[in-house]
Amino acid sequence: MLTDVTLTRGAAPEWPNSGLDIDALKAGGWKPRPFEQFIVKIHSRCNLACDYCYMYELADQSWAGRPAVMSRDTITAAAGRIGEHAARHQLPVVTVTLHGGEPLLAGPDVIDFLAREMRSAVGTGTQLRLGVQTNGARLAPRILDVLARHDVRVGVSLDGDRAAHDLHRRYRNGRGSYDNVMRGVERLTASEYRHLFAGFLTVIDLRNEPVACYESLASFRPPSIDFLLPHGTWAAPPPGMEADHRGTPYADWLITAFDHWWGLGRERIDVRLFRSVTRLLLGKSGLSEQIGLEPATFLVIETDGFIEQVDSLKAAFDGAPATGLHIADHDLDVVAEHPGIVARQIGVDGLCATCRACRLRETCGGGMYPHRYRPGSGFLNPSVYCPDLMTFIDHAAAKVRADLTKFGRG
Amino acid sequence: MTLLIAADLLLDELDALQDSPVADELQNTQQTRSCMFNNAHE
Repeated sequence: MLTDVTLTRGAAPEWPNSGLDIDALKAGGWKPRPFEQFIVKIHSRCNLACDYCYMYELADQSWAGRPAVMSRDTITAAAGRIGEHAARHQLPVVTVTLHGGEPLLAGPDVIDFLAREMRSAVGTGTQLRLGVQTNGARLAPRILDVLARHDVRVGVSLDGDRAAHDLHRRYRNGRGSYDNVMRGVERLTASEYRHLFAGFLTVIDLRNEPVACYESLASFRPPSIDFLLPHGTWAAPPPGMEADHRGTPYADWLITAFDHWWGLGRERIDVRLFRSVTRLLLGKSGLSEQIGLEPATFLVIETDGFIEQVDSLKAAFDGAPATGLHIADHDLDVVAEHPGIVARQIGVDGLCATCRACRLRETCGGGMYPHRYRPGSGFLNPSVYCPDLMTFIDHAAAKVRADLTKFGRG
Repeated sequence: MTLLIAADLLLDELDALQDSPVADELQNTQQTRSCMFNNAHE
């Protein structure tokens, strides 16, 4: 049990910070899973001012008190902790994602240094997979050369065509970022760097037509796409789901996109959410924290070296991702026993009574953890997207069942 | 063809979309949605 965690600013005595009995879990045989994925915030500022950004525009405002760039000492310390953790647990693979803010603002020298430090710290028994998630507006040749040198795979945040993308992803002066992002994507997808291209992250906006959105992304032949539900909680519902809303608008959007995708057969581009739901329906594991009951094994290292839970918790309340732990002082095995981490590694035991009793619990898994937040009961609630998730999963299940029946007769 | 075989074929078809020999090693855990680069390493 943690003894040296100071519950930090904003950490209300709500579940799981209160009410999750970790000692009882351990007495019952539960063991923490080691961390396999590390989000390293190398730059805490951004060149864009997207109005839905969980870093700057939602509940948590901790970015303002952090250094803009991760120092070399902090990078070295982070690499040391990751290497030590990977060796102790004999991890076959760890992934390190450079993140922000906009991570490319850190510049090629910092990225080069970080990649060298990580490769040096992670032993030969562990495969280190490096990636960066960028807004794509600064994918200049000098940066791409450094990324290529260290085999850093590149995910780009792109919301669809120009009109869809520029709805939210703008500069502070209001100008859309699409043109600059396209220049970056064109460089990235040219033959010299194409092997680095990992895919697109796309935040859903109900105003964007789903098939057109998919096709505009697919036109770049990305290795993968993920459609992300906009962040929201029971206290701050997502766009289009205010108290008087009707129906299941996000399920409707996803169903239209899913049906189109499903109908493409072998011409499909991988859509992480769609492949996850299909795999789960067929009894396999999910792939993303948006859905399913698999344990979450990721953590975030901020520019100042503080260790945090998943950064999208910033949408819940100020201080929600904080652990109070720091890479200079705390072993990652200590972090693994933080209530917020444990809550996401215990499967059904981490769900509220409604979700535990739900017929779709194995597929849905309660939906994305931050979307369950409600002041008072913390994260022990169904997702604010619960009706949408149920409608979407039921639809996908019917689609899969129909095809299996058809194939089964063949 | 049984439904079970059909399900396996469907899974194979879907998993072929993400062609990475190490992907399976991470498929019993959730990937954070904050990044997209899970599929591309060889």
